[in-house]
Amino acid sequence: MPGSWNISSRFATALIVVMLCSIPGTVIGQNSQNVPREYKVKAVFLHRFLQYTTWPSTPSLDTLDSYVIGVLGDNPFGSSFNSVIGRTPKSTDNKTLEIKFFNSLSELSACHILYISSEDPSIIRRATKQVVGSGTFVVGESETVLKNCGVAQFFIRNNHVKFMINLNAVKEEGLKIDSEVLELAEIVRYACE
Amino acid sequence: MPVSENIPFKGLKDAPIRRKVTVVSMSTALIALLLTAATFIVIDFLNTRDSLAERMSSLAAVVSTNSQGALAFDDTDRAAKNLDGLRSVEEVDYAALIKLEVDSTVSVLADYLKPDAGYSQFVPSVPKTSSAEFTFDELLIFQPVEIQGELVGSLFLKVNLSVVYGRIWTFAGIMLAVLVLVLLLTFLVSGRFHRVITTPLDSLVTTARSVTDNHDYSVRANKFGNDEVGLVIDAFNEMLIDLQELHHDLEVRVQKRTSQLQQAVTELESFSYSVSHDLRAPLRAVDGFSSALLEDYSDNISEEQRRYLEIIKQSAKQMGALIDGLLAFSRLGRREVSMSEFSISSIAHQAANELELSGSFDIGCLTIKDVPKAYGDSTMVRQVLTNLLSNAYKFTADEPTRNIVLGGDTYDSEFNRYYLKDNGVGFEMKYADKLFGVFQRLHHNSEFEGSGVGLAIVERVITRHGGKVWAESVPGQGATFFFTLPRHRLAIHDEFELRSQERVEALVQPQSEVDEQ
Repeated sequence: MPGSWNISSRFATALIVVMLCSIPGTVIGQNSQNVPREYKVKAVFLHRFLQYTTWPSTPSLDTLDSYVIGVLGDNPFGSSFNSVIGRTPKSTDNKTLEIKFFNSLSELSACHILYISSEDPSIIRRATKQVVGSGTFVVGESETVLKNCGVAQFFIRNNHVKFMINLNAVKEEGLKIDSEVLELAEIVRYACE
Repeated sequence: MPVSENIPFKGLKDAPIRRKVTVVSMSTALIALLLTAATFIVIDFLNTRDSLAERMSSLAAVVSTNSQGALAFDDTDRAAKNLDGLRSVEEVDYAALIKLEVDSTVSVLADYLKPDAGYSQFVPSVPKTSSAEFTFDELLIFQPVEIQGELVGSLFLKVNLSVVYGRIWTFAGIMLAVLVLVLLLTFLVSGRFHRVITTPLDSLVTTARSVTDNHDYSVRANKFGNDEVGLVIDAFNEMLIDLQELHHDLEVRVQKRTSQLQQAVTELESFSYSVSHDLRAPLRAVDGFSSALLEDYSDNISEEQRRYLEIIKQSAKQMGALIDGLLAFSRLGRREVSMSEFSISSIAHQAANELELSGSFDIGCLTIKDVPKAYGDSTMVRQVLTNLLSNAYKFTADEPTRNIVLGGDTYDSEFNRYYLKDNGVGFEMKYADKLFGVFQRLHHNSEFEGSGVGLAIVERVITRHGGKVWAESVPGQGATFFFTLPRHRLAIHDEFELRSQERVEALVQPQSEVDEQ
């Protein structure tokens, strides 16, 4: 298949570097040219989640004038979001897109989608506990996110980025996710405490 | 007859009207049908093409909408599965989902190739608006895919036009069948339609032929309608009416004139017969009493008186001969004729013998060659030969040896030609046409005796038989008299016989034949 998911040798080398370092989510570079394709894809996916999801009216979200994607911890996306920042991701309203980087839990503020790059269960548990019930679409890289009432988790299958969605969390957070997304997702149901 | 060159379809000029009608109606049907078929095919082609484009565009819209998610999340499996749904649409040869990357490059996310279709190269692109473009045998469709107004990719469809062309061929096939059927029907129908034109014309031709062949002017051509042919028939019938009247008038006039002429001729013949007959009585008295004077008073008359009386007697005798000739001439018209085939040579022998007995011929100077037989009244023809023989004998009187030859041969299919050649004085050719008139004489009585009736009788007899008579001569080198007689019975003889019969019946002879002699 022409122009498909074959990862070029340049990015393969980058991936090997990432694996050798054994530090997932490590910032490899601020330049998007050096960001692994995996994270470029994930950045697009986060953007798509934003486009396909309708949020409920909650006290914390209502304070926001724009759509906010928050990245907790290290930023693996580099400048991948640069092309979409400031644009209006949805055709239904004029809200622009904003990316917020939270270096620590203490900095965490209201956002529509919260991406947790860390796979550390304690960090995840603390983070989710902080945002659950505020209508936040929590996305993470480990199952712990889903088990703690996070909404989505990325995973790799056949070199393709896939994602799982916890329907209970969707319900809990009052989100409405387009069926297009749900059809493509692997659906799981972990109970929210 | 002049033929106008300014008619269309010159090749059909001499063809019968039936074929002209067939050709005209068949070509009309052909042209009409071909135009109709061409129009329908073009319209149907455009319609089918447009409806195909519409259908495929809708299909592209549906597939692209369903593929939004696949494009949004780079899901090749989902994309492939979506495109595989096109398997049920046989017009689609190839389909591809094209993804617009963040860096504005394009790549094919998934594609579908119909199992029996060949892959053909295309340039993937992600246009902002949908497009449907026809090539010669394909329809190329690009359908953009958007998520929340953001262009994320496009769907490309390559559609074969076999459906469209299939329809055209089917349509053309049906049209061809209809064309053949229509031409056949037109041929059959025009075979009947041509009668609308040819029947009146045939009637006209039949009538015209009947008029020319039978001279029957009472027939009329039937009129079938008030078209051009009808007008021609009207004009023709009017011409026939005029002709009939003219013909009738002419016939009546000819009949009237003929009967007047016949009456005049009969009266004239009767008159000349009476005159010549009645002239004989006083002449006999003149002759008789002159003889009586010479015999009874021979002693009392002087030599001079005797000489006068001899002159009177001689003149009376000459006048008697004239009257005899005149009587013989007029008697010709009153004889009943009996036609048969007879031998000219034996008739000539008889005539020569008779002439020799009366001392006016010498049979020794006559040579009769092998001559063909003739058809006619032998008695009349004997008179002809008698006259010609005595003429020949008479005009060879000065020759040391008389040489008279009778010959004959075939003249044409109906006539034989005979001639009598002598070595006598002959005549100048400028008088040739005067020879056969009554009382026309080229020589003075003192040179050659004669009444001037002989050759007139010859001409009359030969003419009555339908033949002709003429003479050729060089003065001093003899003369040749030619005449023709029928070889067999001719149509003219019926009238000849009938007229002579009528004339004989009509004539009341004033005195008996015995008295004449």
